[in-house]
Amino acid sequence: MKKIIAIILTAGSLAFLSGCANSKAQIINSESESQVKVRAYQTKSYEIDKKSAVRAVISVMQDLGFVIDRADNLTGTVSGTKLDGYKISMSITIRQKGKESTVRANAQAGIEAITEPKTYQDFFTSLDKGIFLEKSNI
Amino acid sequence: MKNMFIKISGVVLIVLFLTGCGGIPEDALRLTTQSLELRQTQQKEYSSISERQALVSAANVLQDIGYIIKESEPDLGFILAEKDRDATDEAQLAAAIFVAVLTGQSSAIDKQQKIKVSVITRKRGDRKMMVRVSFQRVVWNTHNQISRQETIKDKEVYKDFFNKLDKSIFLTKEGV
Repeated sequence: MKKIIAIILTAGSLAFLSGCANSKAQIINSESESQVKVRAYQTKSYEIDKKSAVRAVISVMQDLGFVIDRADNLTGTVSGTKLDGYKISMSITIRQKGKESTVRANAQAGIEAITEPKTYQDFFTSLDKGIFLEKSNI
Repeated sequence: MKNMFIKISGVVLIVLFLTGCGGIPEDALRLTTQSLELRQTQQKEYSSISERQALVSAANVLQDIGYIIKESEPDLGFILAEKDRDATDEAQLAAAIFVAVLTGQSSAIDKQQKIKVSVITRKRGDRKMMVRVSFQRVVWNTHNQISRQETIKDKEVYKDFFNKLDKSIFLTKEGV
């Protein structure tokens, strides 16, 4: 009986460990969901010029408790880190397409990619407010 | 032997379940009332000053207090700086010695910290600048493990910073 329990527990631990780690597959993320799907929940467009969008992104990230690590107006990239007992690293790119600016975000928590669409929705909901404030120049 | 194996496997499984592969709170990227409070702590408005003057003044303060400037983007009013410092806490050290004397075991105490700060300036109407600063730090213990990673929310820290920035802005305007 004990032997069976031992086997079950060991198998369980191994299954869990292998779920987290798969070291080489991590490089190109070959086991992850489709590119199109990832882009869909990581991207949102706003009717605003690029520079204002970048400023709004920085401002919202600060409100969310991030320290801005990098910001480049030319390429429209911003990255930052949030520390609060955990660590979230996030990078944002902003591209202008006609009158719209497209904001793309990706993030990792600790040593894991954030793949929860809800988390990105939360970010864009926060950014909606930031963009609104930026537009009304408050 | 078998018993121990079962126990270890059980503990490993429970720990893995509890930690997953690193979790974050659900509202990590949501604006909350704390976001507003943090903003009020971290920012201050200055009048009759250009963005360039505000940035130069802030960079000078950071150097005054020992930070190394790592990144800057004047187009976006941005500076990032860092410093590495000792993190030994005397109370913690005393407690560790006490434990060592009692048990003969050495416990880990905080050893080193990396402090990071970003400054962002934003135009507020004509000749008015909003300056926002955020401090963060990571602390490592004597076993080289991260013992703490946090955003500094202590109002006193920010008050001190802005006091120094007030003086620096005055000096920049006077051309000193």
